[in-house]
Amino acid sequence: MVKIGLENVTKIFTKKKLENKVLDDISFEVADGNFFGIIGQSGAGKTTLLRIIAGLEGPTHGKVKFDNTVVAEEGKIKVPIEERNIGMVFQTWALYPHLTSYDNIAFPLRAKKMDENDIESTVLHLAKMLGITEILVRKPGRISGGQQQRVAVARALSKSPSLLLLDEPFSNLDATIKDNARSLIRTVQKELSITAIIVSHDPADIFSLASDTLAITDGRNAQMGRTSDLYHKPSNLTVARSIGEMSVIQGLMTQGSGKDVEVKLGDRCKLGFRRDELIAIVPENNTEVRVGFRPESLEVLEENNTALKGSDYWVLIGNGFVKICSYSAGIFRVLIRLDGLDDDIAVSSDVSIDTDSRISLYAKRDDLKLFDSNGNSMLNYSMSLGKQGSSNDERRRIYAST
Amino acid sequence: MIRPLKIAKKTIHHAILIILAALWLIPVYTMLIDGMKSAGGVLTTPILQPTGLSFTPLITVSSALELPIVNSLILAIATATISTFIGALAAFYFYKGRSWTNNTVFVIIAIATFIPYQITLVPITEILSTLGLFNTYPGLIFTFVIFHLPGGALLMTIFMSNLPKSIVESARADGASDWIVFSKVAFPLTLAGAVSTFILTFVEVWNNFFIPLVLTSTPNMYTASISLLSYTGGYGTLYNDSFAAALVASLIPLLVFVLLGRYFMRGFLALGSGSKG
Repeated sequence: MVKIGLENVTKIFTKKKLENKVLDDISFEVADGNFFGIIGQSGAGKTTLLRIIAGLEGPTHGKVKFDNTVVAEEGKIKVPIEERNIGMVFQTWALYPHLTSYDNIAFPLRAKKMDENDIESTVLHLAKMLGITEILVRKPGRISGGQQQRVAVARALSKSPSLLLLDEPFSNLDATIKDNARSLIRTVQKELSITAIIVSHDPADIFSLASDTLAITDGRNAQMGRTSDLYHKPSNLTVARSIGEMSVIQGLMTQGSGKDVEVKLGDRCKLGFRRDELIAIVPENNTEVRVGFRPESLEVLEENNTALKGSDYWVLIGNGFVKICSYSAGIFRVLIRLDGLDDDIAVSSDVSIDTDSRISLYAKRDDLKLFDSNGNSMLNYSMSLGKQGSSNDERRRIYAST
Repeated sequence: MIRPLKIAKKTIHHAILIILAALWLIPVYTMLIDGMKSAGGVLTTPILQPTGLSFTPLITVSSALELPIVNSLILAIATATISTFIGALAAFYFYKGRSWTNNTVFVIIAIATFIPYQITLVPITEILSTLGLFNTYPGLIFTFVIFHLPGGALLMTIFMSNLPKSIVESARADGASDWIVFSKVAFPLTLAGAVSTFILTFVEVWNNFFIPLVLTSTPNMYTASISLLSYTGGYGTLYNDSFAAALVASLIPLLVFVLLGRYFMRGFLALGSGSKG
C-alpha cells in the first residue's frame, strides 16, 4: 500500500575517525504491492539497507521516500520508525519474552490505543490465518521455533502495516518447515496486497518470494532486476554465486578464426564465441577468463560414453572423477574434479554416482556464463540468452575439440 | 591415590567455609543472645554465653522503635523506589543510543557514585534549611536520592545493557512511543535488575547513620539507625536493650532479602549468563 523509493542512499559508519562505507549510492524503487528481495553475502550491507528503509538508521547521504513523502534525507530521519507504519520481522524474531503470544500480537494495536474488542478480533483473525490459535496463551519461550516465527509475522501484520520488512526471517527455522513458512508469507502478502521487502543470503527465500531483486556486494548495487534475470543473466560472478550455486573453471581467451573468440579450458576443451555475443572490446590474446556453470546445466556421463558427442546442445568440458555424491531433496549433488584442474565442479544429477568413478562432464552450451578476471560478465545477454537464445540463428557457437 | 587427596581437599574447603560462616555469625549470635538477657545478666555473664531467655528487652525496644522503624521504612522505600525508577529511566536513555553527550553524562554519574557524601552534607544542610525542608521527610528523601540516584542509574545501566537491541527496535517498529517501549518492554524485562537495585538502595538507606544524624533534630524524625544511639548515654549503656534494638532494626532488611531475594539472585545471574528477564 506504499511505494518505496531510495535515491542515492549512502551509509557511512564512523568509528574512531575511521570511515566505513557500508552502502554506496544505492537507488531503487519498489512498486506498491510488490515483493522485493535484497540478496548479498554477509557483510554486504543488506541489513543496513533494510534498517534504513525501516527508519532504524538514517542514510548518510541520499533520500528515502514512502510514496511522495521524504522520510529520511542526508543523515536526518524525518519520519521516525514508529510513524512509518511498517511491520518488521527480525532475524531473531525479537518477540517480547514476558508477554504471551496474544499480547505480543496485540502489542502494536495497544500502542495505537485500539479498542480491546477490535484488538481481540484482529488477533484471533490473524492467529487463525497463521494457524497459531492454540498457542496464543503461551509465552514465546514455551512454543516451537516455527510457531515463534508465525507469532512474529502475526505481530508484524496486526496493525495492517503498509510495508512489511523481513530480515532473514527463515534462517532460524528447520529446513523442513522453511517452505511452509515461505508460502505462508507469500499468501498473506498477496491477500493483504501489502508492499514487502525481504533481505536474505539464501537464494531459496528470494526465488520463492521476491519478483524483483537487488543484489548488493560491498554496499554497491551489483545488479537489479527480475529475480530470474539475476540468475540467468548475472552481471558478475558475485551476483551469480549469491543467487545460486555456480562452479567456475579458469580459461584462456584467444583470437579464434575470423570473428570468433576461443576460450580454452584445460587442454581438451575449446569454446567458441562470436564477437557480438560479448560486450565491449574483446581483450588481447591469452587473457585469463572464467567460465561459470550452474549445476543443472551440466551432465555427467560415464567416461567414453559418446551419447552426447556431436550434440548441438552439449559440449564436452573434460574427463575426471567423482569426488563425492550427496543427496538433497530429490536431486543428487555430485562434486567433480576434472583432470588437470584444481577446482571442484558441482553438478546436479538425477541418479547417484559412485565416488571415484571416472566420468565425462558435458555442459549445456547456451547456459554457460563467461566472466573476465575481475569477475565481470563478458556476455552480451541481449544477443544470447537462455531459451530465447536457443533459436538457431542466435545460438552461441560452441564446439568441442578433442 | 586420588581419593584421599580429594577428601583432604574437600575437608579444607569446608573448614574454610565454616570458619568464614562462624566469623559472620558471631555478631549475629551475640546480638541474639545478649538481646535476651536481663539488664544485670548482660553485665555479669560472658558475652558469648547464653543465660536464660527473656523477651522483656525485645518488647521494650520494639515499642520504643516503632516510630523510628516507620520513619526508616518511609525513607528507605521512597528513596529506593525513586532512585530505581529514575535510574531505570536514565539507563533507558543511555541504552537508546551512545553519543558524545551521553557518554559525558554517564561518566559524571559514575564519578558521582563514588563521591563521599559527607563532603556535601554541609551545603545540603544549608539548602534544606533555606527551603524549610530540614528535619522533614521530603528533605531527607531528597538528600538520600541525591546520593543514591547515581548508583541506581549506574546499576540499571549495567542491567539494561543486557537487553537485546532487537526487542527494543521491534517495539519501536510496532509503533510504540518511548514511554511505552520503556514501561511495557524495557522495564518489565529488567525487573529483576530493578529489584536488585531497589534492595541495595533500601539497605543502604536503612543502615545510613550520618545523613539522618545531621539532618534531623527532633526524636519524632529519628530513624532506626539513630535510635540505636539512644541506648548509649553519658550516664551508662543499656547493653541488653542495645542488642535487642539492633536485632529489631536488622529484621526489616533481612525480611526484604528473604521476600525479594530470588529476584536479587536472578538479576545478577542475568548479568553473568546474558539471559533475559
